[in-house]
Amino acid sequence: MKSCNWRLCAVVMMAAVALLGTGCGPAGPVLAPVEGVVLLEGEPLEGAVVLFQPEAGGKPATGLTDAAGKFSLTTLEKGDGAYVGVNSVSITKQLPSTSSANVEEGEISEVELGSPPRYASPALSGITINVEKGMPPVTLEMTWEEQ
Amino acid sequence: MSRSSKGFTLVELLVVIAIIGVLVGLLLPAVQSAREAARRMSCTNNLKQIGLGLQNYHDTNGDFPPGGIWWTNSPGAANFARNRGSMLVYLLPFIEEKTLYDSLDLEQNPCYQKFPGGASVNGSPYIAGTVVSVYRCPSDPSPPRNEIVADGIQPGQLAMFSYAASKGPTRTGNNAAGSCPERAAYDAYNYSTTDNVPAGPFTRMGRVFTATMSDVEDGLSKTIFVGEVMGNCALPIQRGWAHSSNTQGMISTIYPINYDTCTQDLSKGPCAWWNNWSTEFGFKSAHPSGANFVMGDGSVHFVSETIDHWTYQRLGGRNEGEAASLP
Repeated sequence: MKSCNWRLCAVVMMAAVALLGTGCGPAGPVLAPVEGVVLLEGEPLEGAVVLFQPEAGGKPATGLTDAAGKFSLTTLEKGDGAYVGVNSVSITKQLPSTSSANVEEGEISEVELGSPPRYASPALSGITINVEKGMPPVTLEMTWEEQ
Repeated sequence: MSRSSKGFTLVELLVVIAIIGVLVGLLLPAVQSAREAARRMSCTNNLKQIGLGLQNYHDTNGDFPPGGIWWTNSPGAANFARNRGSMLVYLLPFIEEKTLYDSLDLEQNPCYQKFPGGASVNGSPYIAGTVVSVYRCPSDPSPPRNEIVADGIQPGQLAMFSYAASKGPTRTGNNAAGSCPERAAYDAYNYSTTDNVPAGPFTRMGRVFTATMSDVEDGLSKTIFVGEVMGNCALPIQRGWAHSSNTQGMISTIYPINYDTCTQDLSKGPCAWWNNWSTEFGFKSAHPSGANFVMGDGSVHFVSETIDHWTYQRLGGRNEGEAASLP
């Protein structure tokens, strides 16, 4: 009977310990995976960075497009997506610098873009995307024409 | 029953071992996090000393110290001799390191000055090989001295540091040898495109600009002055605390906190490379989920890496007219 109590006690303790261990992780932002494609004048754009700035505030999510123009966003861990809610979007493609070839380490050089500059800032691009869980892939279309 | 009462059964022993295992498993992270908490306390205390040192420097000199006094990185170039070191040199008398400060000849470039008479301290003939404990965060995983050959100086001879002066939301450069495409995306957050008039309180161009308190229009308590960096994650730190181009006045808030640039291997991607001249110049620490900063009034704050990126820029900027409070 005594050994039975021992075992009961052990089981209870382990259960208590298991309960203690749950629910202790830090509460991070609510993210949802976001995938999509970037088109410039209807053609997939490779090497462009898509940035999602949460309008309610938060860390931006970024993703780099591949040869097919496809991207997947990352905020904290690879592929975890963007903040749920409305995000303002920027798209930039940095060209191999010609001016930075002559500067010293740490010296400021111009940003040279191979994408329309009016999409370069999330504050000014005018593109907003409402991020939701389970959302379909987004298509981001750009044009060189001024609007 | 009489047989089992003489000792423990195998099951009972296994249960006891399992319980001990679980308890140790629970305790170990707790002990580790207590150790990290102690390291972090020491780390924030150092930042406090730096913040107070900056205040005292301003009292004495009428302005804040330069981020750096820099002409060129090239040791062969004539202008290299005109370099006059980083903020960490000028702060020494204000963090009780006056003896070390006095051992440097500031009529010359201080970065690779040697101890007089061929002396050597801890295997380094260089004055800048002296580890300044206030400049080191105990959580910083990088070794106390340089790991790579810096300007021909062997590893282990130049003392590194864990704190760097902020240039706020000012544009950065871009290394053509390893160009990070995200640099163009984060450039949208800048409030200044020149180091001669930085958006934050410090710049490597200290011969052109040093801030006074009246240059910090957004308020000293609302402007980031100094934050955390790691020697493993930005190559210039390997040149030691006395060098004019060692990240002091070069760290920009346009890159998110704890952006990982801690690889020396370019094949892992240019954005993660520690020598890309862009994302390497963001504040970063080994603390989970954020980094410590000292504001202009000497107050130290832990800022989460998920802080709103616009708010982070307003905290970094000294005069953008949109003073932000810490969240």
